[in-house]
Amino acid sequence: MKNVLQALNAATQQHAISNQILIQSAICRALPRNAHVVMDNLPQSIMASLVEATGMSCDFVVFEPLIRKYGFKLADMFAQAGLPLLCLGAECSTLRITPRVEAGFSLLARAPLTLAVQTVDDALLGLQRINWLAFERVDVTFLNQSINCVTQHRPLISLTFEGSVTSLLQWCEVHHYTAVDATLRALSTTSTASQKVYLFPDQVLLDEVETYLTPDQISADEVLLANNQLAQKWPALCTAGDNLGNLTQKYLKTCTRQYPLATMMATNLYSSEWHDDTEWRWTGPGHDTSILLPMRARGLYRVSLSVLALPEGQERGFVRCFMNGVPVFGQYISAGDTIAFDYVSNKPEEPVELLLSVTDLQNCGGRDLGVAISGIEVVWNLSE
Amino acid sequence: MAANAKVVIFCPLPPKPNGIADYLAEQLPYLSEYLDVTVVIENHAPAPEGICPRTRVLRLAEYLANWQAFDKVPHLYHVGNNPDTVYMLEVLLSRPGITVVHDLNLHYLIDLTNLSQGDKEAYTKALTNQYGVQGKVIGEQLASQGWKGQFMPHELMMHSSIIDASSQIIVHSEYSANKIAALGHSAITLIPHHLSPGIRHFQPKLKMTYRGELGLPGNKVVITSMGFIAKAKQIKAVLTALAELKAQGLDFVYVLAGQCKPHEYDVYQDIADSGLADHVVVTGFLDEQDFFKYLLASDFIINLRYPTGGESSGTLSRAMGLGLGCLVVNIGPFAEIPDECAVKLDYDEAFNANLTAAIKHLIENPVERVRLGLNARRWVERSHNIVRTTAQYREVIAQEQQLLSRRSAAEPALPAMLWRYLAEPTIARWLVNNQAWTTTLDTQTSGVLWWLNNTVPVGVSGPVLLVGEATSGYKLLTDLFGYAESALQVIPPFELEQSEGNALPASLAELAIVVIPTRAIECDPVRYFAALSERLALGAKVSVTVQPDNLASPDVPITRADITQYLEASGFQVDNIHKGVSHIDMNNTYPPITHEEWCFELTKVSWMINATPQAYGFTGISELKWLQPAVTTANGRGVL
Repeated sequence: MKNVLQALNAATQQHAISNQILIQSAICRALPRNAHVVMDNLPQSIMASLVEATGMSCDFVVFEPLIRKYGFKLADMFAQAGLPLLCLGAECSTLRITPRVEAGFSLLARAPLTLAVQTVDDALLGLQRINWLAFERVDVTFLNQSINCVTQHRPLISLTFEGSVTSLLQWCEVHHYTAVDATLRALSTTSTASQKVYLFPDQVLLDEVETYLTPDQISADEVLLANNQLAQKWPALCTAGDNLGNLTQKYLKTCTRQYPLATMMATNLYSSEWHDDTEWRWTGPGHDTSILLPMRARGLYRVSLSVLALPEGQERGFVRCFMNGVPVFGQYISAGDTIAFDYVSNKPEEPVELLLSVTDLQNCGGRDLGVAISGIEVVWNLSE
Repeated sequence: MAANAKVVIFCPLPPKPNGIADYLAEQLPYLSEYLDVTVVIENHAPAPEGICPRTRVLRLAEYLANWQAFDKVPHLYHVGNNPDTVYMLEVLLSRPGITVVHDLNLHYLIDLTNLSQGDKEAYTKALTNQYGVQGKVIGEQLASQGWKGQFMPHELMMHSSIIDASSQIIVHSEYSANKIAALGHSAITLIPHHLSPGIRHFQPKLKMTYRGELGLPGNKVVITSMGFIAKAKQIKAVLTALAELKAQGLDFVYVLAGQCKPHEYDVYQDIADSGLADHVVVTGFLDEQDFFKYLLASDFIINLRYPTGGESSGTLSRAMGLGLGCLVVNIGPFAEIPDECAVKLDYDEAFNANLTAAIKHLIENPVERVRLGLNARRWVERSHNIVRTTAQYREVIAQEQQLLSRRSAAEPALPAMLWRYLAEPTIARWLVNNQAWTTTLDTQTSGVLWWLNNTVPVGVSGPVLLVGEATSGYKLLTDLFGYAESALQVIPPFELEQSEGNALPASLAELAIVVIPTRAIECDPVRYFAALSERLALGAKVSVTVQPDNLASPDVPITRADITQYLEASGFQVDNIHKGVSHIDMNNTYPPITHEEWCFELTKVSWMINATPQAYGFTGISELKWLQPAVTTANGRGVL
């Protein structure tokens, strides 16, 4: 256990997301292959990709604050990704999103949207199995509304807890769960709130996860691991030769997540176009393009976008980027350039909104085009 | 005002080729001497150039990410009828502030948010917002038959949503002030368009030098029209007049000093048709330096606008401040120019002849040109001084600061409203738990469809209006829908139209529940529903249950279809009509319903009503009326 603690600490030192990758990979490996996961995360997230690599099934849910923040925009993004918008809350209600009526607002004629806000128990009632509930920011009231699910399915629950740790521990005691922190150390009343917590339904699963997370030989003074070392330290997770192992190894080694453009949660992007192996999407018809990026661990990231082309006849164009409203980039770009910037994620409970604002649009074949992006990449562990 | 008082200003900035951008840039040194000024510009706007270094500039995305931080800071919105101010609309409509109305008619600005993007349905909604059910008719005609009158954007004013959302209004002319006051807004300040301080750098005595630099002849009369070359500037009429004068042997050069809008008006065709190709210079967009040079190189200015959107002309102020004689149409804000300071022509059947005569007179009489110019300069220097106008701005901002203290935090600038309703099983559960009460319920007075069909959103803040019998409605709204007793304002069905005795709520209601017999609306349903509308905010949700009543002897037909028409005529959008309970009562928990009733789910969409809808029998006659809100402090409007 001491080794696990030390190694996970070392991974966290590198970047909090490395710790999450290790634990999530271990959990995926420990759960049955036909497990079902429910997560409030984006389909492009690292966690979703690990779950998918395992072959497990998955439902994506959102919490009400995200709907309040984005309104119709979020609904459109989910619709474009072909996903139902399942909304969870501490109590059941119906949420109706209607367009504003004052002239000057966009979307005046937008059809109202009705969403059922459900508790976990109501929303997941019909599912045959639920093995893992992966949520950000929930409290005891929410957990109490999930009792039927907890009793029936005994899922592993991962969450960032809001409220007093004592109340969470009492809940775990009543419902026979073991609460551990991000280093698999048992949670105590002295633990700090608002940290990542894992609630294990039984010791067997916890032991199995712990086994997967036990590193190969880590010395007492080994506090910081290089990327390739990270991958080597956990052969059980990284060298199994299966999809999950390969993906885990890739993430740990390269510290990079390349996002598939075609399925990004985004607005103001034309459909994907392909030539050979290259995929790109034009921004437009508006100036501002929103792309949601899942950065579910605090820390520094480097985001880069490859610019494949500008509209015909345009040699350069001015582009500004904002991450959650923070200006991060603003300069002229040409075809073949890379838009790159660093960003510190400090609100992991929500996706980060990348806003790409293009100054000049050009009408080509009836479409107002900004720039053609051919890839988005997020890198962590920038020290290497 | 304290040195650290703050203001957030939404306005484009130079180098955006926009008169409003130049206007603010000229003001900034004077405003930021006393205020901590933040200017919010659109995300993709070019980096501001040549503005006062004390100004903090934010992009819209930065501002929105820090929405709450600006909650107690006065906001000032510079709105013009052009694409450069579209970005601020959703903030303006969500967070009340001071709106500087540079153009009275904002039809094109609103059009840019819907019709210009191909969204005819949204354009219809915008017209409905401004003109009620009559606007809907116009919008639907456009959508179905592509009909849009040539002058529709000029003649159909579109500004009410912006005026209504603003706590205070600044205008540059009495004409605009009067038009806005007619909408019921009382906090209007008239601040004349300032005279550009930039004119100090240019000397009228260098007229011939400028002509040399610009390639204009020194021996001919130079006549100039400034700004965007648009149809409403009557360029064609000027060209016709000049062609006639040329035929009479007069010599001149006509300069069109501004940007062409070829998609709107092909000026080159008219120049060719008039045979004046050798006499006309079209400059295209000019920077400030060249703009002033062209002005000073001129002998007089022609600045015609017909029709007018009530816009104030910054370029005209500049020209007059430089001592140039000007020729204008005697309409809108231009009619306010003193008679001795400009030649003012009425736009009537004699306009073309008078225009030709007036131009001829000015070409032939240099002394008259000088007299006009001197008068104009004296008037502008006296009333359009920038030190004085910015001091007036600061007074309005100080007043806004006081208004802010009594205003609740603004909702985020989303184009959507989120309403929460009870989950369907909640009502059934409540019925089971309250069966003793429901068996004694007189459903005839309480109404049933409005609550059994879950038409009432929960958690709506502010006052909730209940028009109906108090007892049962009270219990349902407090017990089932969770409203505090103190939030409910109950008005008996037959007292809604009597303003006396009904204490007004602190603010306009976002939610109303109405349960009435047809007798209540038997005389004049629109007047009845209008009395309801006066108490409601735009976008409010309303549930109206009407129970046909044998005692009613209506003056107008009151079938369900008629009532739908009356509700639309009263400024409501009918979202849903319930004729019965929409769920099957498997457990016998619903109270027995022995009567007929209709429940209309509504959204208030307009302040404009049609007092004589078609069903009243006055075919072809619409009596449109702009309702005045019962409570004028709804958005913290400038009543101190």
